Amino acid sequence: MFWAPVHAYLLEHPTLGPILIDTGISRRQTQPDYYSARKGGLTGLIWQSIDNWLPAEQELVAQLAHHGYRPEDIQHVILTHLHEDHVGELYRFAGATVHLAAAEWADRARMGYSPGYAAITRWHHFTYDGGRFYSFAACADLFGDGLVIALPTPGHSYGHMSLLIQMGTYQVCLAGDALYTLRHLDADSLAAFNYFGAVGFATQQDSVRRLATLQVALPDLVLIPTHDPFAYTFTLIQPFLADGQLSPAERAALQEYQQRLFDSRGVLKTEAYPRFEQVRQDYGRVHAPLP
Amino acid sequence: MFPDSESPPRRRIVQKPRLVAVRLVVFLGLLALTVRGIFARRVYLRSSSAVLLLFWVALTTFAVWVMRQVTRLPHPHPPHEPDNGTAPIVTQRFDQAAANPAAQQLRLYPLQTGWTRVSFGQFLVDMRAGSGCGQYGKWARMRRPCSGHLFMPTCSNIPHWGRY
Repeated sequence: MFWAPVHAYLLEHPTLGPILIDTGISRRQTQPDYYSARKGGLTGLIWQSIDNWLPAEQELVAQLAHHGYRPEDIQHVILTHLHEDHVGELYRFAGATVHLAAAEWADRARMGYSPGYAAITRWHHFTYDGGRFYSFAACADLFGDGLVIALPTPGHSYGHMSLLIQMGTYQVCLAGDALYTLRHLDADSLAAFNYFGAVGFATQQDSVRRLATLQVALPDLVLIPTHDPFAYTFTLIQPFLADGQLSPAERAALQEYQQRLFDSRGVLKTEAYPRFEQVRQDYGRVHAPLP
Repeated sequence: MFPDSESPPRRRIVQKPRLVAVRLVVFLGLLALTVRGIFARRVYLRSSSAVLLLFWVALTTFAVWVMRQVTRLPHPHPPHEPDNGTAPIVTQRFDQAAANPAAQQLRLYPLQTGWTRVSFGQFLVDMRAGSGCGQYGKWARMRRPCSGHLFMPTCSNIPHWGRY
C-alpha cells in the first residue's frame, strides 16, 4: 500500500475566468467508515477499500483562496470522469456549469459518486462532434475557441475524457486517470488495474496509445497524470506550474525526465520500472516523494 | 493519424455458458470434497496443515474464479468514437489558436487535493506485453494479454511484487 496524490487543476481563462478541472476529494470522504454504508455490490466493495487523507491546507477551497478565488467565482467545472476522487468537492460549485462527456453521464450509476454531483443543476453533457483530432477519431472544442479540447479516453471509466489545453508555445494534456503515472505511457509494459475487466482494459490501452501518438504529433505536448506519485509530479510539474505556465527551460527538463524513462521507441526502460516503498503498517500519514 | 488497425484486439469476454458450467461444477466439487474431508476427519481440530492448506487453496481459487466472473461481466464499454469522416475543423482551430494571444494568457495551476491510499496491484500492473506475461512460463503466456486481474496467481505481476 502507498499513498498516491489526488489532483484538481485551476485554469485561468482570459475571457471565461477561472475554470476548475476535477474537484478532488472532500473532508467527509476521509472519515473512517464513510464509505461502508454507502452502497452495496461491487461498487460498494471497491469503495469500502478506499482510504483518503486530506491535510487542511490541501482542501480545495483553501487552495482556491490561495489563488484569490471563492467557490462562487468558479463558473465552469470540467470533469474527466465521475469517480469519487474527482468529484468529491463538486457539490461546492452548484452554481457553475459542469462539463462532462455524455457517455460518462449515461454510465453514472455504475461508479459515479452521486454525493458529489447531486447538487449540480447546470450540466453540459457534450458529445464529440469536432471531427478527427490527430490520433483521436473525434474531439470536442468545449468553448469554441480552440483552446480547451476534450478528447475521449474511455477505459478507466465508461466515458472518461482527457483535456488538451493550447498554451501557445506548448500544449498540456490533463490525462486524468487514463494515465495513472507517466510511466503508463508505455501501454505495453505497464497496465493499470481496470475495474471493468478485459474490455475496459483493452479500451484503456487504446486510449493510452492514442495519447502517446498524440505526443509524437505534438512534440511540445506535456502530459500530466492525476495520480503520479513520482518525482515527475513533486519536483517538476508542481513547482514548475506554480506560476501557471512552463518556461522553455522547464519544458526541457520535463522532456529530459521523459527521455530518462523511455527509449527512442517509447518503451519503458528497465531501470525506470517503478519501485514503491511500503508505507508504515500503522498507515501513519508519512509520505516521502518517490524517485 | 492513428492507424485503427493497430488498436488492440478485443478479447472475447463472455465465456461459453457450457464452459462456465463445467468450471462451476469442478470448483464447487473440489470445494465440497475439501470441506467434507476437513469435517470428516475433524482436521480443523488437529490442525493438519496439509489439508488446511488444501482447503485454503481451494477456497482462494474459488474466490478468484468468482471475482473473475464478476469483473468480466459484459460491460458495454464504448469503442472510441467512430471516424465519421468529418473535417478536422477543431484540429485547425487548435493549431491556429497557438498564435492567439489568449493562449499565452492561459494559466494552469495544479491543485493537490489530498492523498488516496491504494494497493500496489490496484494502481499498477506490470505486464511486459512484449513477451506476454512472458518470462514466467506457459501458464503466464496462456493468460495474455494479462488483463490486470489482481488475484490471478498465473499473472506475471505477482512474481514482480517481491522486488518492489
